[in-house]
Amino acid sequence: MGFELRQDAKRWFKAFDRDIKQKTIILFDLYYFCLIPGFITKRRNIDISSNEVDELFRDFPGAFRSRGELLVGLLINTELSRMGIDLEERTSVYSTISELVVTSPPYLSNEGIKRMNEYAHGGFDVLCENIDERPKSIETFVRKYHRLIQSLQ
Amino acid sequence: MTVKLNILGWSASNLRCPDHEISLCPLNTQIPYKATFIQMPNGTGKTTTLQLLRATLSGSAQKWTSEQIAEFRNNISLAESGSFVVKLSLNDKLLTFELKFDFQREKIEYRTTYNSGIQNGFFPPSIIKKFLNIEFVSLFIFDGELARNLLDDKQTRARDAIDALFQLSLFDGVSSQFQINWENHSATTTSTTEQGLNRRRNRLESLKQRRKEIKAKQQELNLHRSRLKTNLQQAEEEYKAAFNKDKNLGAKLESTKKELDKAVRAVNLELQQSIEEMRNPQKLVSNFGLELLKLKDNLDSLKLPTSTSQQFFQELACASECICGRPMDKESSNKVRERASQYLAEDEVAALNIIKSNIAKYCHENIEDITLQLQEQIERLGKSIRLRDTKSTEISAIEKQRIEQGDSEIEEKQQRKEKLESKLKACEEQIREIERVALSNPKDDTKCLKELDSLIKQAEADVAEASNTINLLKKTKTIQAILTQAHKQAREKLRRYMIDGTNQRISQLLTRNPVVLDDIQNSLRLRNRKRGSEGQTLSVAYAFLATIFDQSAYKLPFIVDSPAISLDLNVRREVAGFIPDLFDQFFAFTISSERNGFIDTLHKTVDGEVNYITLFSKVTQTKHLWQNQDDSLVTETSNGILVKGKEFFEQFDLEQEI
Repeated sequence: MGFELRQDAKRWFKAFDRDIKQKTIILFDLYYFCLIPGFITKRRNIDISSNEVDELFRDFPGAFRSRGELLVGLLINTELSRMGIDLEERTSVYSTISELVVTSPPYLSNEGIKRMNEYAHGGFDVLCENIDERPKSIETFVRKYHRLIQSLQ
Repeated sequence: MTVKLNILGWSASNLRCPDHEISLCPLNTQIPYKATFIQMPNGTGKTTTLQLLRATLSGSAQKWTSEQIAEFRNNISLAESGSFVVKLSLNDKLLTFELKFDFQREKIEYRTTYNSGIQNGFFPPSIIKKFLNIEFVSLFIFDGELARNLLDDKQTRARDAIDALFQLSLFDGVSSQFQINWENHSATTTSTTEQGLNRRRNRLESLKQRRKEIKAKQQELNLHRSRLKTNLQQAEEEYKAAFNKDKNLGAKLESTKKELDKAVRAVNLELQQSIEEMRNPQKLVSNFGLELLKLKDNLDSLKLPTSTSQQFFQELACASECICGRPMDKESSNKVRERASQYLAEDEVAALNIIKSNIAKYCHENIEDITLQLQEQIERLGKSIRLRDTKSTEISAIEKQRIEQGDSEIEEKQQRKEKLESKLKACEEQIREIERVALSNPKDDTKCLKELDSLIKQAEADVAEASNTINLLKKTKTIQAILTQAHKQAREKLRRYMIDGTNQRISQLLTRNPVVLDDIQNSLRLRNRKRGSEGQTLSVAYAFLATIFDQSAYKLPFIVDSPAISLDLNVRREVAGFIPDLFDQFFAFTISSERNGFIDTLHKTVDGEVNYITLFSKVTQTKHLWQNQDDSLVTETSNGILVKGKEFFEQFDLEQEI
C-alpha cells in the first residue's frame, strides 16, 4: 500500500502539471498540501474508494525523505488525540503506535498509511471548502495556502 | 492386463438354506475345479443361495428393506444373526466378502478382507469394482430371468454388458477428464466464449489504433510547436523592429524587459524557497512543532521505546534463571511472558527511535522564530511577485504608448505576436496532456500516451488469457469429438462382431429350430420375432455371453442356475461343449434331470476335472441316504448334509428315494 491522492484532487491541482514537469514541485507536494489541513482539523474522509485514488509513492520521496518521520510523528499524535488517548496512558499509547508503525521506511504499517491517506482525503475537503476556485498558479496558491493554514490553527 | 476372478467357495450359517460350507477347490489348493455341479433338490434353498451369492458379490444388500432381510431368516432355528461368506481369488490374491445379518435389528453389514486388511463395509478392489454391481454380477451368476432380460427391448442389459466388458466407458471417462480440465481452467478466467475473446480483441485493436493516432498527433503538435516558435520569434523580431522605430520608447522597453526578466527569476527563486520551507510541517504549523516535542517527551517518560524490547522478555521467560540470579519458576515465567506484550518489538523500537530523533533534530521550543522565517519567506515571495507584475504593467504601458502614436504597423505586429503566443500556449497544453504521467485508473479515451501504454498492456494480457482459454476449449471439443467418434465406431464394430459371433454359435446350438440375432442395441433383437421359446431364449443368451466373454480381458467365473433344464438334448451337448472353453471356472446348481446330455458331456469336455457336490436338508426322511456313506465324503451340519463325489451325485434322486 502507498500514499494515495484523490483523483478529484489531481484534477483540482491540474494547473500545477507544468510545475511538476519543470520540477518546481513534486507530486507528493500535492499530497502534502492535502495532508496538513487534515492533520490540523483532525478530519478524515473514509469514504473514498480505491478506484477514486491514484497511488503516488510507497515511501516518502526526495525532499520529504527526512521530513517523513515528522509526518509519522504527526499521524501518531493526531490519532492519539482523535481517539482521546492520554499521552501518559502507556498501554493505549503503545497499542496505537504498534498498530501504525513498522521498522522499515516509510515506518508506517499498511494501517498507518491507510490512516494517513484518510487524513489527506479529509484535508482535500478542507481545501475545497476554503478556497473557492481551483488554483491557477503555484505562486498564488502558495500564498493563499499559507494564509489558510494560519487561519485553521 | 488380464484380470482373473475365481470363487473359491462360500459358507452359510443360520440362514434360510441349510448351514453349509462349500469349497470349489481340490483339498489344500486355491485353484478351483474347472467345473462344479451342486445338486440341491427343490426346497433346500437353491434360490436363496444364488440370491446370497449375488448380494454378497455386488453389495446390493445395502439397499434391502427390513422385509427383504427378514426373508433370509431361518424360520426353524429363529437365530438372531446369520452370515454368508464368499471367498475369492483376484489375480491369485485372496479376497473375502462377508454379509452379516442382524435379524433382531433387521440390519445387514458387509465386511471386506483383501491384501490382509479388513474393512467394515463393501469395498471391492478398484480393478474389479466396476463388475461387482448387481447388474453385472447377474450376468455371470446367470439364470433364466437374465436370459429373458437380454432379449427385453425395455432393458439395456446387452448394451451394458458390452460396455462394461470391453471398457467402452473409458471413452466417456477420458472425455469427462478433459471436460473437468477445461472447467478448472475456465473457472479462473473471466471470458470463456468466442464472443468474449472478440470483444477483448476489438478493445485491444481500438486502443492500439488510438495510440497510433495520438502518437501521430504528438508528432504533428511538436512540428506545429516548432513552427509556431519560429514564427513567434520572427513576429517578436518584427514587432521589436517596428517598435524600435521610436528609439526612445524602444530603449525604455528593452531596459524594462531586462528588469522584468530579473524580477521573474527572483519570483522563481523565492517560490522555490517558500515551497522548500513549507515542506517542514513544524514551520508551516507552529503547533505541530510543540505537539511533536510533547509527544517525544511523553514517549520518553513512558520509556517508549524502552532500551529493553519485547524479545528480551520473551527470551527471559524461557530461561532457567532470571538476570538477577533467581531461578525462573513457572509463575515468574508466565508473568514475564504476560508483561512482555507491554513492550514494543525490536522492529518498532528502531522505528520509534528514528522518529524521536528527527523530532529532536527539526523541532525547537522557540516556535516563533521558526514560523517567522516562513512568514518572511512568503512575504518576500509576495514582494517579488508584485515587482514582477509592476514591470509587466510597465511594459504594457510602454507598448500601449507606442501604439497610441498611431502606428498601424506596430499594432498589426503586436496582434500577430499575441495570436501566435496564444496558439503556442494551446499547442503546448495539448502536448503536456499527451506526455503527462499516467494515473492509476485511466479511461480508454485518454490522450495520455503512458496511460494508453498501460491500457494496451492490460488489454494484451486479457486477450492472451481469453485466447488460451478459447484455444483450450477448441482442443477439448476436438478431443471429445474424436472420443465420441471412437466410442461410436468401437461400439459399431463390437455390435457387428457380437451379432456375427452370436449367430455363429446359435447356428451350432439350434440346428433344428434356428433363430437369427438381427441386431444389438440396448437389448438383443431376434429376426422376425419378439421372443423365442424358453430354450431358444436360453440358447441365444448363452451364445451371446459366450461371444462376449470369449474376447474379454476379464476372466470371470460363470455360475448358472439349472443350466440345461429348458434345453433340448442336442442343445445341451453343444452348450456343455463350449462352456469350458469360455470360462476358467464354471459351476452350476442342478437338479437330477439335467445330468443327461449336459453334465455327462461337460464331464468329458473337461477330462473329468469336475467337482460334484450334493447338498440337502438334514431331516429324518433323508437320514438313510447318507448314513452309510464314507465319512470322509460327508459333512454334517445342524440342519444340512453335504456329500462330495460323482457316485453319490449320480445316484441321488430325492423324489424317488424318499
